[in-house]
Amino acid sequence: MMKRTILITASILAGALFAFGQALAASTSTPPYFAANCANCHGTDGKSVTPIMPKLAGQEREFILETLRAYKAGTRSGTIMPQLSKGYTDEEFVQLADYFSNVK
Amino acid sequence: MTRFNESRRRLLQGLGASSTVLMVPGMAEAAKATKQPRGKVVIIGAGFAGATAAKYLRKWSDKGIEVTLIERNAEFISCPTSNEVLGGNRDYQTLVHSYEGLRKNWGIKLVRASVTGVDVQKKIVRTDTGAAYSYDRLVVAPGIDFMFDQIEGYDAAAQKTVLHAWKAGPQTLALRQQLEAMPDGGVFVLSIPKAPYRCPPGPYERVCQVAWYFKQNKPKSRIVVLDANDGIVSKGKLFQAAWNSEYSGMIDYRPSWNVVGLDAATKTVTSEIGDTFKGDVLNIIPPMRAGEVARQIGLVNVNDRWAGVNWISLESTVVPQVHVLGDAVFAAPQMPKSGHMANQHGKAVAAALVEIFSGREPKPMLMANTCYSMLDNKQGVHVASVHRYNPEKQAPLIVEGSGGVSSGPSLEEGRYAHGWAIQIWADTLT
Repeated sequence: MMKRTILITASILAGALFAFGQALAASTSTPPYFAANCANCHGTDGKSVTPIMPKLAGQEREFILETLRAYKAGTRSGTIMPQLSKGYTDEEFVQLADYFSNVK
Repeated sequence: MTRFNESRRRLLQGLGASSTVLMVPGMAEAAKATKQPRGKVVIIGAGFAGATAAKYLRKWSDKGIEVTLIERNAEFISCPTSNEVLGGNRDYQTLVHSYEGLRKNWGIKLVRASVTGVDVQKKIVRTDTGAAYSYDRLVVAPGIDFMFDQIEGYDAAAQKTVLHAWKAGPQTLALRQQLEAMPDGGVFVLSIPKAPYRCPPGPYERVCQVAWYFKQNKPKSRIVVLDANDGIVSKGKLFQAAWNSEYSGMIDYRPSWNVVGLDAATKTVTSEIGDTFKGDVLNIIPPMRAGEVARQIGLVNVNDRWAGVNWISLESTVVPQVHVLGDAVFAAPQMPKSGHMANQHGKAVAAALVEIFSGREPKPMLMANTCYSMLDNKQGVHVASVHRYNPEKQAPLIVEGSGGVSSGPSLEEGRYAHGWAIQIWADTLT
């Protein structure tokens, strides 16, 4: 009886821990891997280390989305971003916006 | 406390726990003391590819994957932007970066040594210090080596005076000194090997940088470009426009001129059809192939020069559980051998190995390339592309409609070129 209680408690605890761990992993440690493509010019996790390129970390989600969509549509001018943005799907834009807007 | 840790470890082991789970706040410190690494990776070579792989393996595994990074050089010296040193537009010291950030920030085990052998059966890497390192997965990122034997007369003695300066370092400074010592009215001869070679636009940027230096300091001097290719390999119109305007009359460009012979004493080169050319400063960039260590391990299986890889995991097509990155790889169609792309390879292998060590199938990684060239002291141009895995071709291909080059040179892109370097050095090394 005692043993079973421990087991049940353990499995509930384990489940909770696992879920928490997964959630944590999703939010901080394992971004969509391809988001790291941006890091070459915008800094690791979008934390730019020079004022020459804008930081992406913590930017408003809707602003990131609007900007990427406008580059891809050709309604926002630029040098390299209009060309690079055309390599990504709209769904990937959402993933990027979700990720970078949540980086603290 | 011991019992608590012990039971928790058993509990987590029962879950098939990854270190991601172990890193729940408050448990992290205790977990660190008890957890076993999820896997052991040894990386040979700490250039853009190897160093990035090391960092992102640690980052994406929450430091659950043990990483040993073996590099023979004491410091990282950046090839990108090194042409600016030749033009007198950059301080050499800005190319030189410490590896310390990788150890301090990410807990990567840095080993300064040369690899002497790899036992791929026993999965052990041996170095010239007598040490041995065991691995679950090996990542080989050796960059390129030069095929001096393809140019008759480019022997060890000739290599002392006729420089390639195609690996940044002492040769960068030595070539700059040769340019400074050259009298006004002299001829600088640059030869370019047939593609593929490291950094497709690099030779043409070098022409611009040297031309800029001559224009300011030695305006009667000339540059002769002997290109084994049929035409300018990258950003052709942009470079040609700069040569025709900013450097009008200074540059003599000769396509399909393949240097096969060299006389260092008379500073004369010979083409495969017997043409000769004499210069005051010769800068001969020889053909290249994968770094020697890739050959020793038996990874070189394409044209006796490059290492073939599976483009999802970057695993060698010859030796299982050995992954190859960067310039040493037989590139996918239209994929350049660039520092930027090497950094992307590093991330692709890190993602793949984190998935593999977590018991999941790795997925293809999107990769992008960005490459800036400086046309003078402040104007830049770019080439860019996005590469997406094509299951039919089993290779990343450029996404149709993506990428391209600058519409023209600009101060804005000169700034971006400098910003790019600062960012990628930090992304790779800190």
